[in-house]
Amino acid sequence: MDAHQKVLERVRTAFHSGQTLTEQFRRTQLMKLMAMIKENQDEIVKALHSDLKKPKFEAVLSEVDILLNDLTFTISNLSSWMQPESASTNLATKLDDCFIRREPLGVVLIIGSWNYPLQLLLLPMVGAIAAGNCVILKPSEVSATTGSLVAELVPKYLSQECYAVIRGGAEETQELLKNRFDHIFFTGSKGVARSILQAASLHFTPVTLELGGKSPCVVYGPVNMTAAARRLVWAKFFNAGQSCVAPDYILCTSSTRDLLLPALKEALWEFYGEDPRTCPDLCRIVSPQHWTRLRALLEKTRGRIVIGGESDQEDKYMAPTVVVDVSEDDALMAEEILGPILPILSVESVEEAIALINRGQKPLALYVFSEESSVVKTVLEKTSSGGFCSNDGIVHMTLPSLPFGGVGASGWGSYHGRWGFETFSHRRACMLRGWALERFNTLRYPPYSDGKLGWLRWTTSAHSCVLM
Amino acid sequence: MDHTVVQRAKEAFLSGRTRPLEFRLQQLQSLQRMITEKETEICTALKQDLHRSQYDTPLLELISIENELKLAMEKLSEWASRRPVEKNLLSLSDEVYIHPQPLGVVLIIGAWNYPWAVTLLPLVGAIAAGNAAVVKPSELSEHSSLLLRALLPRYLDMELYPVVMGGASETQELLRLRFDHIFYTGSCAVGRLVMEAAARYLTPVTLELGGKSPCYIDKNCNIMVACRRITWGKFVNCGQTCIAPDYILCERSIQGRVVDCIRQTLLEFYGIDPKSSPDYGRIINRHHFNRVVGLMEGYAPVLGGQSDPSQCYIAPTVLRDVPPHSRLMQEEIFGPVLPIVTVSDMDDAISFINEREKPLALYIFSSDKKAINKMMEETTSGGVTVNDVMMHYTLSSLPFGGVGQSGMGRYHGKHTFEQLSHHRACLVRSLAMENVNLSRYPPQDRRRARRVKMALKSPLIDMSKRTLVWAVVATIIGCALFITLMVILLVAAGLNCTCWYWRGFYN
Repeated sequence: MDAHQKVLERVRTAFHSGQTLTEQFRRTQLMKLMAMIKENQDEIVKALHSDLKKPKFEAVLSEVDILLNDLTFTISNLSSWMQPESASTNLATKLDDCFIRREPLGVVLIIGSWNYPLQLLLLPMVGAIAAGNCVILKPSEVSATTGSLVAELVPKYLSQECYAVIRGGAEETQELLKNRFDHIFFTGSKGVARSILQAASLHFTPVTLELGGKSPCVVYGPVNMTAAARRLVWAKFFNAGQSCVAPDYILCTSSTRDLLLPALKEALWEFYGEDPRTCPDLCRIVSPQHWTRLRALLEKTRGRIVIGGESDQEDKYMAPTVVVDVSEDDALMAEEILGPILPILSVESVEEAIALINRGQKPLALYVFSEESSVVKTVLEKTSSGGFCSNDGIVHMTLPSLPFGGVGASGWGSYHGRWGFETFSHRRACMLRGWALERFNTLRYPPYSDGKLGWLRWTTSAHSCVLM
Repeated sequence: MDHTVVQRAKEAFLSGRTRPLEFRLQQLQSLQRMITEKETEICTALKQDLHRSQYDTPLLELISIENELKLAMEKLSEWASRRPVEKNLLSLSDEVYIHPQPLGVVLIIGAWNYPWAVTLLPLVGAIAAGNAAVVKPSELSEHSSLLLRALLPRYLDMELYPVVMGGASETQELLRLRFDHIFYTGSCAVGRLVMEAAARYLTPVTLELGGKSPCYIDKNCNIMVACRRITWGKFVNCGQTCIAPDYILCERSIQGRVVDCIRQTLLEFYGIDPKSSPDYGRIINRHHFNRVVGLMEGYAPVLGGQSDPSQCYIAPTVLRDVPPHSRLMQEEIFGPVLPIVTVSDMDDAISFINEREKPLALYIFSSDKKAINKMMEETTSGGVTVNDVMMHYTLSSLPFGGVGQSGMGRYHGKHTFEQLSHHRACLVRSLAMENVNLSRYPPQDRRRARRVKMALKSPLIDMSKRTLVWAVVATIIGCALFITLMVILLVAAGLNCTCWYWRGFYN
């Protein structure tokens, strides 16, 4: 723990030196981060392959490119984001300079997750650096190879004073959390989130929690089954289903299901071939523990496995699996699956689907496949979720202009693009007044009177500036 | 009892009746009527709670509530509507926007120092954002809480916006229940309990806490005006304001002058005997009275110092040359006691401030723009007012909230609406143009990968500037066509001349 203390002290001293405040410094660090990713793409792909057997395409798309895009977007907008934001004034403050300054919070802790070990660690870091903070990165110990790579590369490219990587498991994280941070950014499970929030309450540390949940996918009404099935399969089995925004389960009528199943089979065959096990484009489960968890779900389910079901413990392989006749109280519906198992629940109507969704916790993402816009609109308006996407899956999180985050049990706060910058900034309200018009101020001083009060009411109303 | 009240609020929320904007507007209008119609009763309650003058109440509380209500009603449809965002090539034909949604049931825990403002301002935002809200006013401002409990159900929907009463233990019970957001104003100690309780359900919180708000007086400034403004801010509500200037930092050379100016101002404001001034307040209760009096122990004030426990009266008090490590400087004073701590210069003041917890407010009095900028850039705080105190609170376009130990989250005006809404990211696509998607599916090859890369890398286009984009494009095309036309005409004219020449025109 002494080693951690030293690192934390060093980083805090670096923050207090004020070096992260300049735009120049932040821009330089962001460009170095970009260089780090670009110059080590092969090593990154290898590390991801070692941890998750992630195919190169997925690694590049969902870990490298998404980072580079956000970096480009952030670097080109950094200047304007850092500008003070003018605030509208009323008559009483017309001559004053009123604005909102974005200031860094200080030393922020970013705890990554294992399913997108690079993206979920470094994407928040982009916002944190842009906002002028110093950062402690804590990569997930489950995706150990990527964690090692990050620990090796970050000190080589970024300022060693301002940014550090601390490694360790659950125990070390708990120890680390005893220290004081100015913001904690956590991606992971609810259970760990609770202990983080407890630790944060000691110092009133604001947090961002990117959790998960069961992201429902409603398939209803007239639907181009081929297109829908392709997009569904892509979104579900990307990273072997280990995405916090993967469609967790499907809700559809039995007749839709009967049309959907062959389309799903077709799409799976198209993507992964006859034997997905030999396909280089399919990931593996990250660890033996998670494999065992998923295997147990398949064994406990009272549904019927109609596609896939095969698995291999040694290889941590699980075939893309579809299970039908799943009921609401099934084992597969008790927790977030985070794996390549797709349960299909039958509902009679959209209302029933909505009721089922609303009985559960607010999910991180919600999907609707339908060519009828009224169906999409109804589901959108009668539910709540972190994000929403109709007729596709996952892609809503690739746009840096949309905030990415949960609500309720699926999380607290958001990031990506400008949202990351805002998350790691403090919005300081500033009002610069002059010395003149002190007579005007006497309206508010004792001894009080009705007349003074009347004038004050008028000059401080939001409408008084309309006259000017 | 609380359990059923909260459950009912939840069911009322789930019924969907807060969704239509008309409903929210109607509730806000009712709340506005309540404030207008019951102003006298509210003033009376506050006089009993805090010995507030009939002018102080509208000045300090009612005006801000009225303004917030007016703003919310005017801007509600704009705040609640979908917000389109920039798209890239891949999403050009899609609808991409942020949809503000209510969170659900918000718990609002009020404080006793401005019992109406700190309870109703968040309530305005909660209603505007479409939430239900359980209101828990502070038990210390007893008359105000009882009045609120009597009034709110008469004006607002009783199920959606119930008032729950009680002290510390009842609040603890309430915090065991699940809410979708907890909005707390009060002390750090209780704030910590709120955040710990919120951890159970991972409930997001807004904490409006406090701390010691420093007030720096530069030797280069109009000291008389500065002291008048500071005196007002410090002693209004008998110093019981979270953003009151807690202590003064100044150079030794001007300390005497500062004391004199404050003395003069106090005379002007409250007369020779502040105890008999109708405009001077009292401490909320004996416990806080003892606390504040205890802080002064061992120091000889240079102004004031008198107190009367029977009335919870403490005279406006100023102490000079206060040591930085004294008890007075360890906790938020929250009373009419103003310590002056001397520093050697502005850099010393900046270090002093930075050695301590981030304050809710920072006040800088100076005529030197460079010095002001320096202090602002080298410190941080919830908010800052330069050359005055507390005024940043009065402008609803400025976010009001703390940082670090002074709190988290912000509110006022649109900021309350934002704080109590969920910004749902929405991407509405169609199933057409599936060919475009083929690039992202397995089996993968380099060509596909390149195509996807390009689509995702494409710069974001702000569709709201679509007209401008088209106008620019049309102008460029128009100019190009014009130039082409000119060239053609010139060439033709040239040719024509040549023809005429050959025909002997110029002969």
